[in-house]
Amino acid sequence: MKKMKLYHITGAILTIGLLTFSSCEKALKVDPRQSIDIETALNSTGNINAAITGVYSRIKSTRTYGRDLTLFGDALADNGRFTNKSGRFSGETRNLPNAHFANWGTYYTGINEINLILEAIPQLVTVPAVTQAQKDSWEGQLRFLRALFYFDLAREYAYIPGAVVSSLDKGGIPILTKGVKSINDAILVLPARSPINDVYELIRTDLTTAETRLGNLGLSPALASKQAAQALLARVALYNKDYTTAKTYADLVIANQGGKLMNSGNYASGWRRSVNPESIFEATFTINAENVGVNESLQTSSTTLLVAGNPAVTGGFGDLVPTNSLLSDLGISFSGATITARSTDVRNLLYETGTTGRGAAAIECTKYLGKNGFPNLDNAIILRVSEMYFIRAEAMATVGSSVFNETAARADLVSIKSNRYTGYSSSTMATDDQTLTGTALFNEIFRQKRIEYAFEGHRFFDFKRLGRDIIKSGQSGYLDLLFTNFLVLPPIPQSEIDGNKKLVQNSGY
Amino acid sequence: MKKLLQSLFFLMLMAVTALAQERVITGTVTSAEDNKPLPGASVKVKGTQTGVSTSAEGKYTLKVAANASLEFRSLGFVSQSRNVGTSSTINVALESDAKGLNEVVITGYGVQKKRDVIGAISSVNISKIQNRPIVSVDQALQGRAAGVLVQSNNGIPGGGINVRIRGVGSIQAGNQPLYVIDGVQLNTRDDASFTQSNPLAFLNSSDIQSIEVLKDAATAAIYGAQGANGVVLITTKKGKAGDTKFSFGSFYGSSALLKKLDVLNTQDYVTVRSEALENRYRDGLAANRLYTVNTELRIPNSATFTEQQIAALPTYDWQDEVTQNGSIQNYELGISGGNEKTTFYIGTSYNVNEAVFKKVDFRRGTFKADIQNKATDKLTLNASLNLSTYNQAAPFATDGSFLGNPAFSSSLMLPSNQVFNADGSYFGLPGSGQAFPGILNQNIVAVNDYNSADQRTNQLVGNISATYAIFKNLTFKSYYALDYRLTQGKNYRDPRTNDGFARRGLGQVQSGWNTNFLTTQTLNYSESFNGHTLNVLGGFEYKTENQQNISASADGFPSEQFRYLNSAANPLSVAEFFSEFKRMSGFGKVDYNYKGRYLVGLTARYDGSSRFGANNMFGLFPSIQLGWNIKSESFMKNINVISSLKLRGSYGTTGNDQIGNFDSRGLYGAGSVYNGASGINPSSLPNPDLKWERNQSLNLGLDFGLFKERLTGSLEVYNRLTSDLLLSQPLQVTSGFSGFTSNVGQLQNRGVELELNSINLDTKWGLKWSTNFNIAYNKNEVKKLYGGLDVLASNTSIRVGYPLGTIFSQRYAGVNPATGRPLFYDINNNITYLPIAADRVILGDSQPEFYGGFNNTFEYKGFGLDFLFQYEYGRIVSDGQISFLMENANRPFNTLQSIFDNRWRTPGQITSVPRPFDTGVEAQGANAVTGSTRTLFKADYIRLKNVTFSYNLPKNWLAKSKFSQVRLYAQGTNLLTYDDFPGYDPEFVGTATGIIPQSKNYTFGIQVGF
Repeated sequence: MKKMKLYHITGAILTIGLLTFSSCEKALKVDPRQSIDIETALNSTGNINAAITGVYSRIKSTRTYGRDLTLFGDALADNGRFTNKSGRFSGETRNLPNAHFANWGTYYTGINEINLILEAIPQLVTVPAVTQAQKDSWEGQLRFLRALFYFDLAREYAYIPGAVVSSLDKGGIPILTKGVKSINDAILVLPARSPINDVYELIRTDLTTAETRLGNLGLSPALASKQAAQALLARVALYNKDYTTAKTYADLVIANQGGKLMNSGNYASGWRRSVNPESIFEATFTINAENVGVNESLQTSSTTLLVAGNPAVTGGFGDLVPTNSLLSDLGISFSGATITARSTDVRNLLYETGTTGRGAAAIECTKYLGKNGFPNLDNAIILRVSEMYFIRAEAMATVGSSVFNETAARADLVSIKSNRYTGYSSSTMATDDQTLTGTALFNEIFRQKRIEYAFEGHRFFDFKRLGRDIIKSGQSGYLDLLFTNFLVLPPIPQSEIDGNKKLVQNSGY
Repeated sequence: MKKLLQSLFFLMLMAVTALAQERVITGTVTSAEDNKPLPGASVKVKGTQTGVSTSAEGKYTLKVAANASLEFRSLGFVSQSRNVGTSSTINVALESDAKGLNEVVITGYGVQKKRDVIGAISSVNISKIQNRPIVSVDQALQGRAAGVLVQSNNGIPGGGINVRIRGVGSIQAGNQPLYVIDGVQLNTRDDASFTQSNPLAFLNSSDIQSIEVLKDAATAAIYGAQGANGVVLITTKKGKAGDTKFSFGSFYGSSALLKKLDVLNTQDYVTVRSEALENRYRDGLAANRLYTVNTELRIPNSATFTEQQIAALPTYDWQDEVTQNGSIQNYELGISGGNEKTTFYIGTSYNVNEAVFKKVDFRRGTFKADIQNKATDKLTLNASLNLSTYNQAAPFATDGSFLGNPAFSSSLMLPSNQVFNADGSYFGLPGSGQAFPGILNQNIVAVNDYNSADQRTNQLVGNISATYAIFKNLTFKSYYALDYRLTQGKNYRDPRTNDGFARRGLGQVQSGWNTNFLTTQTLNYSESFNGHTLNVLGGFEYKTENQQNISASADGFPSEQFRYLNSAANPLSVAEFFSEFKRMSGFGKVDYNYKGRYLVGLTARYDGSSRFGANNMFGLFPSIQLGWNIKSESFMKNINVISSLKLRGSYGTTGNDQIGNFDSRGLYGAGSVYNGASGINPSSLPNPDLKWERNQSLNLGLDFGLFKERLTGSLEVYNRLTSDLLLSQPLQVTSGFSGFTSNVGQLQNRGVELELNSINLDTKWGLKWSTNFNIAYNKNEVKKLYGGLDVLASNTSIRVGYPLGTIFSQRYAGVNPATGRPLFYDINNNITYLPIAADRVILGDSQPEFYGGFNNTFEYKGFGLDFLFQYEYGRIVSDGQISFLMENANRPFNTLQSIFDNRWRTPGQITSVPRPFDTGVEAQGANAVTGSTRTLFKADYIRLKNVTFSYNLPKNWLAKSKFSQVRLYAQGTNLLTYDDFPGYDPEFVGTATGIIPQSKNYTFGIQVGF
């Protein structure tokens, strides 16, 4: 009797146990609430919009325009020297190995995100259906961003067409146009470096598609627009030595946006606005939660000042400051860190003596001053309209160019300079400029571009695309970076090389 | 607890069928030592399961058959048998059992007689750890159990403690053991945002009855997927039937720095810094001295200082400014009592620990209640509740090279920087117009004073259970537990300090709660017949753990008097977090022995966890244990030297599931922001095959007792192999992902442990000297990584054939006597100024080879002296703080006196310290403080961890008072350390940059029982 009872009870307990186990999968089901499944993530309009926002956020990274792409172009070239206040930029300014661009991972991650969304858009089934205009806008933005990412990767990690050290050349960069969202797909991604021309062809295709899909630039340059695509096309073509295309697209942008060119009267104040009036496309930092912080922001990198004109209050580190040769091109006379005289160039108004809060004062660039209302919160300009004048001028002043036209090039140079020097039209400079031809004309365009885009990241690439040596030895403690030096190219991340026999490291690393 | 469980065990056997010829026997069980009644002793009819436990007065009543024989047992006493005969009253006086062979040991989901234990279990002597000024119980394990390595992360009271049982068994999953308190599987994740809050700090060590450490996989296998790193079982105090007893304890003491770092005064600093500048720029030493004083140290009006004026400059000791003599206070009260039906224990305590480094104070109040009721003969109810609240002042940072972190900056501060202005205000605050010289440009005393931050943890650990005896030998237990923890923090960066100045103050708040629910249903069946003893346990368990967190931050406060977020102008962020996992398990255990001589244990657990991939959600963890009590064999009877001898062997499998709750899932996560909108990005790839790390271990053990148990000990040998290591397997980042969590790789730990307990002296005149010694040797080796890799690309310290934490670095070759420049060896043992990556070699590892403890106790007529040494040998570490302090003024911050004294100065000088050189990097040279043997140190040490001198007032003094016990004691912690380590503390794990060091403590205390 008792035994029976025993069996019943144990039987019952075991049955309950077994039943519970049989429904285990359900009892063990837990879904995350802050994330959504990768398989079904891109199945709504809202999520596609959010995913595109996620792609845009890549351009804010300090490895891209958040810092490196905005300032390394100056540090690696002859515009910036390091102050050793935090130790940052000490490697880049001296061109030490591995102190270089390092956004391979950031950009390829972004490229995969773009590929996944581009694949998801045609599959999207919603009620009501997504309009063609919406699809065009999505595709235009994604194609523009993919072109920008590939262009940045290509101009950093590979030589630029027409300026190649063949003994060191290892080709372009891997091209990936298919999205990856499973381990099985991911482990098969073992790409080789595509020929550099293939990469530029992909960039060109993406940009021309984007140009047709995108609408005109509206109020905010935070998002991609038709003019942004055209302006980037102009720059890519200039890098690619395709001067006709460069001029064509520069013309288009100038026709639409040329009126935004700042003049000598509003240049300095324009730079104090959170959105630069000339901006066509920029990495926007809207809220303080996006703040990069006091270590790597554009402001802390370039100045110790919190407020222009007030050296009593110390903000950031001011790690990267103008070299003597840049100050000289800017028309700044100085003694130590004290500015003794300025030329009529309004661009030098963006340079002043910093604080002594972190060590000896230096003359610093104040293009970035927390213009979005908080220290260290500044937009990073990627394309602005004045660059189109420089591109067009250079395309027309380059010997052998299919659109060679020195008169027109001089006119573009004057368009810039008359808006940058007070009293330019009545100055001797204006008359002298009219006599510029050949190399002198080209060099003056090149010098003006240095002044215009100092601390905006152009300088290093301008040397690199022309195959020029960078002369830095004028500044004590610095060595020249010859174009044939392997240090012109950064290393591809070693983990990428280790895991992929097909991927060839850049020479020297 | 042991007593309680034992009585419980026998209680279950009470319901017996009445037999013919019954008689009623009554009697009293007393202790032979003091003739006091023994409550809760078991009285059992031999050969049956019939039995009762004695009442609070030691009395019992039992119906037995006429020819029966009774067996009397009580924990800590030698059992006795009596034939019933004709008497109706049987009084028994039990002799105490110093040998403790019949002591029970808590094992997973049950208890076992110590003599029947086959696994590798270390029991911690609880009397040694109580009343010690430790905050969390994991610290108490230090030096007390063989094979249990305990290391501090830092000296923050309530901070993190690393406990490693038998080596490091995982690379990327967790390595902490599972802590089980009264059956509650604790969550020990630190949820604090602003400091370290060790979840084990909730428990007052005086409320602990016993601690057992399950070390081998076979014993831990009952915990299946959580058992891989070993299990620490903590049992808290339960009530005892009898008069209500009070015990009050208090200690008070102070703490001091273990060590102050010896750094330069202003004059020496000026000397070495100007040499560094001179060696770089070669523009005149005198000019560089003035440059240092005037431009770098910014001494007012010093542009034309004479040497006399430099010599007269004052030095400020910043280490003194940020430290103090700490104080420790503890008050506690325990109340225990009850009757045969109901017993209770109530404990309460208050602890204050004002630490040596300012602003990491710890305050804790605890309350514990445990109640047990025998509702009927068959049904026993138990409820236990631990409530605890503790508040920690949060430091600027728990570690790291933050300029405002006083633990980092105080030793590196320029010695000429003053703390206060003449008017008493802080020197060099932002906005004051005064610049604070040096790279470390924050007045850390002001920062420490002005900022405020604290972290509060409210914790509830409780359980209720009902145990029902279905039959005399079959019981069912239904158990429910809750581990709930609320962690709240608030952090305020004052607008007067550097980090708060520009933003006008920064406020951050955080509130997180963790709800860990567990239920276990177990059936226990036991049977004894003809010398066969069988115990069968079957159970089912379900656990959910839910973690949620909200936090917010804002800046722009009106002034420093406003510290709540509602007064901030700019909200910066709000965040909400959710995570959860569920686990369902079935387990079974069979223990069998024949006459206590041959022992067999079989365990299996089947675990299913939501953490793992859909294809591998479930796993089976079996184990087998075999034991042989050799002493019980007839051939051992006449070998009197050996008083006990047992051989044990076990093999078992456990799992490690300490990974993220959603690591197997492919996800898109939010968090990116652009242009005022929130974006989503893919965050992980799905891995439906993800499963637990599998830990298989073989254990051989020998327990022995010699000379009538005067010398007892255990020797253990183990081989622990961890397979299917959870590792983040890298992908080509061109795929869009950097890696995924996968089961690859293999890791092995092999070791030997020896534990010895001896009574060296036990004289008739009352002096007793006993010793506990334990030592563990562990060899760790990475056996396999993924894809045939020999080295993990992301971490060169993980290499096949070598231990985890292998140091792969360059070798320092000393200083070139001619130039003073640092030299290194290249891979071919040639000397070079500029070593490259290829010159790195294997130099050792950061895991200790040997570690353990050595405890001695002297007792004489109420006086007691107890001291514990702990030691580690074979660990090589770098110390981040010392690396900074070795820079020799290459950058404008202070350096060690020993570095200054030994620096190279003149050609031909033989020394190991290179000449100072501004920036630290000579032309075509390497910085002498970055990664080489120069910055690696042996962390071998022997530390006098604890000394206690105590005096128990004689019983005859107390006889007339109401006190049953009065004990006075004085105690010292971390008093002496024998080491060769330049940093604060060789005991630390981690980089040790800017960590708050441990302190030495002196406490005086009293314990009163009444």
